[in-house]
Amino acid sequence: MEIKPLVFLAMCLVIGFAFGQETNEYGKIEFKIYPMSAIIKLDGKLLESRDTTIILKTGKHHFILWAPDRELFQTDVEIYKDSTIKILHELKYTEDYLQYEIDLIAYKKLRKKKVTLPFLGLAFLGGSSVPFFKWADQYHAKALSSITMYEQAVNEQNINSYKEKHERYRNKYRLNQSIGIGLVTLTTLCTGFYIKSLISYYKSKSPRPTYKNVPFTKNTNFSISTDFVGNYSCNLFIHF
Amino acid sequence: MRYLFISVIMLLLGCSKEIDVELNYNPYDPDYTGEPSVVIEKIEKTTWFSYNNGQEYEKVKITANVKYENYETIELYRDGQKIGSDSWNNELTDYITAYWVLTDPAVAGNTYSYQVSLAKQDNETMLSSEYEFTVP
Repeated sequence: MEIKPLVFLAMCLVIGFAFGQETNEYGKIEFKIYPMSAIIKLDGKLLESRDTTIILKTGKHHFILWAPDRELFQTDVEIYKDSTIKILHELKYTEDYLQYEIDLIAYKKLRKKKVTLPFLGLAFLGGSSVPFFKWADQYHAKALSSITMYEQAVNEQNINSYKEKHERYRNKYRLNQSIGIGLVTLTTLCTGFYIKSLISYYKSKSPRPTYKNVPFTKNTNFSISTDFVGNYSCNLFIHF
Repeated sequence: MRYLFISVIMLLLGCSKEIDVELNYNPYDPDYTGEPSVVIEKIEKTTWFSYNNGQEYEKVKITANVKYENYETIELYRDGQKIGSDSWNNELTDYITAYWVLTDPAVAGNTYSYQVSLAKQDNETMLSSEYEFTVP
């Protein structure tokens, strides 16, 4: 059968028009995913963008969302002509990661209770004795000075005044010295208990909780590297 | 731990500077309880003389052991009455000799009780022990 060139051309135009009509049907999809660094895969291809608006062909599309320490999330989305679908999703933490966080907080809390807080308390207690010793020194110097003045005095009124001052400074010296010694004694006693408690704590101490990140490749059979995390460019339009 | 504790306390107590002084050793202090600050060792009635006005004077020489340096004059007492004040040589030696020129001379053959005290700015130390002296 011979086909005339004109008829062939007309047939091509009709077929081309029909297919052209089909490929020109698009819809829009808008993403808002948390965390911002999440990996987004669309129909098996990695989207190198975040918070993006993408124009897609109509029909069903498959999305995979993943981020370190988060649960993998995947869904199918139907795109209709000239429609806009918004995907607003926050990836949940994995159970393992949540447990790790709880363990880590408990670990830090115990360390704070057994090591840091008592240490700070001891430092404060020990440090609080310093001003008392300083004041004691000052009153000691004044008491000695009043002795010198007493020795040089010849007037009865001055003599009595220096005696009274000496008595007053000596009492203050003794009081401050006693408080200082009391505080140091208490600090020493508490230090002993602290050391004892530290030894017992470090002997029975459980290791610091650790958490190993699960690479993206373990969650999906797509062969991409987790190095992509955090290296996306923004506001990229992808046309399919 | 208890040894550490005891060591620290001993160290602290060892380092503390105690002021264990009772202020009553200044001879000018009314509460002074020590030895007299000046003691008469010897009295010599040295010379009689008169000035141009005809008045007779007695020059008394007393040697005393001074145990306190903070003074300006030595006060002389005879039978409890102050009869003279002299700025001594003020040499800071143990034994000091002073002369008083007395306008009220002692009577020869009488026995008097002499005392001295240290003085500064109208303040006096306690009197020395009495020293009996018979005027030759």
